[in-house]
Amino acid sequence: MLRATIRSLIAHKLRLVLTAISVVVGVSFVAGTFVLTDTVKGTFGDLFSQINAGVDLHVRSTTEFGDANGGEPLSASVRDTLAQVPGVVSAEGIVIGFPAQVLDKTGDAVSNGGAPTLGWSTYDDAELSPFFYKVGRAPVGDAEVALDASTASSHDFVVGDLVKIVTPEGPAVYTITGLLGFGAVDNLGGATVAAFDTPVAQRLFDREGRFDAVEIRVDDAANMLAVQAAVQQALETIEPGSFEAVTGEQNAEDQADDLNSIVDAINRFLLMFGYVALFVSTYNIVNTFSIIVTQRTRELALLRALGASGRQVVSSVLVEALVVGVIASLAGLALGLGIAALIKEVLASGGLEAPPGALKLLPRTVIVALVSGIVTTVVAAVAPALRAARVAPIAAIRDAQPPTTGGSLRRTAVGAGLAVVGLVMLIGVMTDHGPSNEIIGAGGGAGALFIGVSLVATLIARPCAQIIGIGIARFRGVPGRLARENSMRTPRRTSSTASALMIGLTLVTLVLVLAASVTTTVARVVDESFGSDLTISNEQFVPFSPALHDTLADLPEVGQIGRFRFGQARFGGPDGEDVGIDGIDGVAIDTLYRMGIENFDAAAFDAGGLLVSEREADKRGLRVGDRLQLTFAATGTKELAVIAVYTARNFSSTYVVSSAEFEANFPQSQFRADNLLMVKASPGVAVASMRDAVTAIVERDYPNVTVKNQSELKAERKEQIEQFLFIFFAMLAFSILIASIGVTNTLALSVFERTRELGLLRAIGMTRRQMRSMVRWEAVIIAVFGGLLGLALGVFLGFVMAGIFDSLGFALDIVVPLSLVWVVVVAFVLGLIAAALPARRAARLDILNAIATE
Amino acid sequence: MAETDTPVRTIAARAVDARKTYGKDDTAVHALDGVTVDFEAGRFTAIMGPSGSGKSTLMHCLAGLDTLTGGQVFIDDIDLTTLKEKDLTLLRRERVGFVFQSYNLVPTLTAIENITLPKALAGTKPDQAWLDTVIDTVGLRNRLSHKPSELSGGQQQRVAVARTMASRPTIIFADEPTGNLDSKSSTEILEFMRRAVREFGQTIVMVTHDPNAASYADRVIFLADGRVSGEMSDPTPERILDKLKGLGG
Ligand SMILES: Nc1ncnc2c1ncn2[C@@H]1O[C@H](COP(=O)(O)OP(=O)(O)O)[C@@H](O)[C@H]1O
Ligand SMILES: [Mg+2]
Repeated sequence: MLRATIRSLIAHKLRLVLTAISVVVGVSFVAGTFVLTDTVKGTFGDLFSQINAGVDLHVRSTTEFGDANGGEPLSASVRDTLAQVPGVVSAEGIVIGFPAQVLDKTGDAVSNGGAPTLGWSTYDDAELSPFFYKVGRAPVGDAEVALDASTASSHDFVVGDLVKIVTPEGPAVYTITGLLGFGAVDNLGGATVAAFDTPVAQRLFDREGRFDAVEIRVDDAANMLAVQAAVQQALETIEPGSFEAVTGEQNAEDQADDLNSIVDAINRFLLMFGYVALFVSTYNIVNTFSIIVTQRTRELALLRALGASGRQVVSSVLVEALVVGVIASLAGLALGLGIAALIKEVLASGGLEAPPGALKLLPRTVIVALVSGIVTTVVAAVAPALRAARVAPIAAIRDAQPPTTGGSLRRTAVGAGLAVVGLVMLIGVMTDHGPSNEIIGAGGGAGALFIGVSLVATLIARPCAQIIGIGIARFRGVPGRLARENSMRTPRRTSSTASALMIGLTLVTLVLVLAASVTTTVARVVDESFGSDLTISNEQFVPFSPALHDTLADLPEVGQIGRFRFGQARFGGPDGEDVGIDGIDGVAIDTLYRMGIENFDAAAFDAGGLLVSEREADKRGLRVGDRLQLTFAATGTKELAVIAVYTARNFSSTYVVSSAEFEANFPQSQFRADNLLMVKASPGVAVASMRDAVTAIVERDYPNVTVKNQSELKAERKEQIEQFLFIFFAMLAFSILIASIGVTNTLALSVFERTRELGLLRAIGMTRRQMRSMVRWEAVIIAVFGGLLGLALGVFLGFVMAGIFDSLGFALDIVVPLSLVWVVVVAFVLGLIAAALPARRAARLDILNAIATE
Repeated sequence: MAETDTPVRTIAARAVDARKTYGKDDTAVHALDGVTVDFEAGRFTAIMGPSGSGKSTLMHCLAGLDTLTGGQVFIDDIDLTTLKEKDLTLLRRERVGFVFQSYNLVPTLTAIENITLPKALAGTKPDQAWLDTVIDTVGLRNRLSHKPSELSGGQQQRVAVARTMASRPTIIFADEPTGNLDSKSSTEILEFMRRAVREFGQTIVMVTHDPNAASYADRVIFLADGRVSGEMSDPTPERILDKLKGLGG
């Protein structure tokens, strides 16, 4: 049997290579994603270990949940107390503030794709310091700064130059006294770092008399654990339960964790596409092995006639699949490493300087890549293998006829059932908030839905092919007519090939529908709820200095200005559900934010009153006057009174408080920067002249933000959504590519199976050109069928998602965009391309051989 | 040598010293070893000979399905050996009909679509009157919309012959067209072919093993080892049997 397997492998090498390629693509995607994200994590991990290398103990305020840097600032006296603890060599209060936006020599904002712009205090104890002065010396006094060497070199700053930096206090010009290095690298993972004399940093970042943390170096001779305990003890005497002393390593880990959770999110996002690609390749595998089994029917029957058991036949097919799976997975792993290496280079050239070191290939990556590739291949081959075992010995002396069965009732019923189960699972995953396994729920749900629809598609494959082929049959002559007939011949094959394409195109359609809907919704929200003449924000949603607000407020042309700050809290206690909470300015509640509140009590709002969205109020049964508990990471659980329920469907989160209340609960500097400003001209001042005044200030001091009127804001959002679409399409391209390989594969099989018929056609006068045309149009019909399936399913899912969003509190104006036509056009073109190879093969067919083929 | 003395008849197809060799040197097989033969227009010719004598090869080469390794073949005085692939295809479509032993029809097309297929491939309209004549002659009028799988073997062969007739080719080649049929169906096909020759002046060349089938022809050419080994006009089954015995076939 083994020999038969090997011979089969060799005989079907082209087809197997095509199949293997689809597995290789999927596995390389998965492996590449892991390698890349592990490498990035490793880079950050190394970085934070390095900058914490000299820190023995890191003292910080405790937080209610998450966030290593999210506590309340510590009083300076804490440092003084700790400095007295025996065994402590030095205790330094540090400030890590945001933003410290550096402007380059042309006045542009220095930014690495939205990475933080940090301001740091200097250290007296060089051993504690995360950075050292590669060139120059530490800044001293109000007018000096040290810049990270990477920023300096890429923007031509040298020691002695002047540089403008915008902090929460506003813009100021500093003299560069030194360039910072961080261990072996010049840059902190893409962030820009500006170091200020400690008292200056305290002033700039609202930390006068306070620090974000205290860092301690312990006497080498002392017992670390004992000193840590003593420090903690001292902290408890200051204020029980408010502070914690962790080791430098622990702090490094916590800091890395923050970034890792972002990297993990990216990892999951990318993996999703990898698994979709693998899922699509299962269709190819099923098809290929069905084809091979059909082609080997005689051989298998002969084997059976000679006494091979059904089990031996099954294992012969599965071993073949195993060989393909192993080889393809290994190749995919190698390719994934290559891709990750490439992307790493790209990232490095884009400003994320990694410490020298190889790519991180963890055993987990190898295992996941191999297992997913091999399991995918073998599992997909099971059904064809079982079919092989059912080949009757008598088939050895009969013509191998491919089954022409369509969708049986049972098949359709099973499919419909699966689709419904899948849909329910998906909806469940998206609406439930429990900790149930989302990956399995979403993956399983989507898988069941797609398989279910594929099964149902078998039933409609014939009529659909017939309808799609109308034009082709009419205008492409006999080849067109034959193409249509051929596409209707084996509905099962047509539908499974089309379904593979359907998957990618469903997601494309869904994303197109959602993007169009979000764009439309955003436009409506802007129209409905933005009472401002201008809005100001950063294009990458990075918060910006609050000083801009105050500067603009002082302009005579500006009548009213309001800010938006976004934060997160937990409903109820520290373990409650995450809820969004915004800080806005009460004075502008009707004019700028248009919250839709009658009889707004401004005094109650400024005194800490809570606004709740109508939907949230309905969901939790909240009413005006209710008091509810929200827990903030830094300040703990607070009881707030609901003073109004707002009806506007705008950008606001479910809960809104006054800017003052927000500041009180979010002392961390990243939350004290503004996300959005809304500006209205003074009465009698033309918007254009107000805009000129605002723009002058922004261009001079705040180049990291843009000033937009409503239509510009809508256009900017639209552009951002389109950029996101592009990423999605690029990722889905892999799945679609695999599905196209599937079309090629299927057509190649059909050409093989119909050898005699094709020979006959050639014998009675079909030209090669007509032959190519026939194969090509069959591919187009199959591909367009896949496109239409994807279109239908995608639009349907779009409506389902809109419904879910609606129930989650985000009312989406669902739009079915005209751009969906492209989905069908793409399918059409893919069909043409996929047909190229088999069409050529059909045209080159040797007529006599074909006729002689039994 | 198959020289005939009927100068009034034009020559529909002709082979001149046709040679076809498979393989090289020691293993070379001379499927055609210098065949020279004329097929006159409007006549029904049978080709007989033992298995492997080169009958199919000769027909394939004459029909433009295969190429010679030496010599020439002509259809309507067109030298096939000078034609490119594309022109050979067009020649087959316009001037040649071919009936195989089995599998003559495109399974996805109905009988009538199969019959008009060569015309359709050429993008021309069939001559409706002629088409009706052909259909009535083969007696398939009530089967026209059937798919091949719904037709008996004999009916399928009749559709195949009707297809070749429909485009009024210069010559029809039939390679053992009755080989898979029972005697009743065979007789129908043979009679139909003879009518096509007698009534419509069609030229037909048929390979057969069956002396009875060959007796429907006006003339029989005998092949052996890739060479013409004899011929006979106005054959009867008995005379053919005698001749075959004489040839040791
Ligand atoms: N493709 C081929 N390759 C090698 N030899 C062939 C091929 N086709 C035919 N032959 C050989 O040529 C000779 C004539 O074959 P063929 O014309 O089919 O004979 P017939 O039809 O009279 O039985 C035979 O010896 C056959 O084996
Ligand atoms: Mg033969």
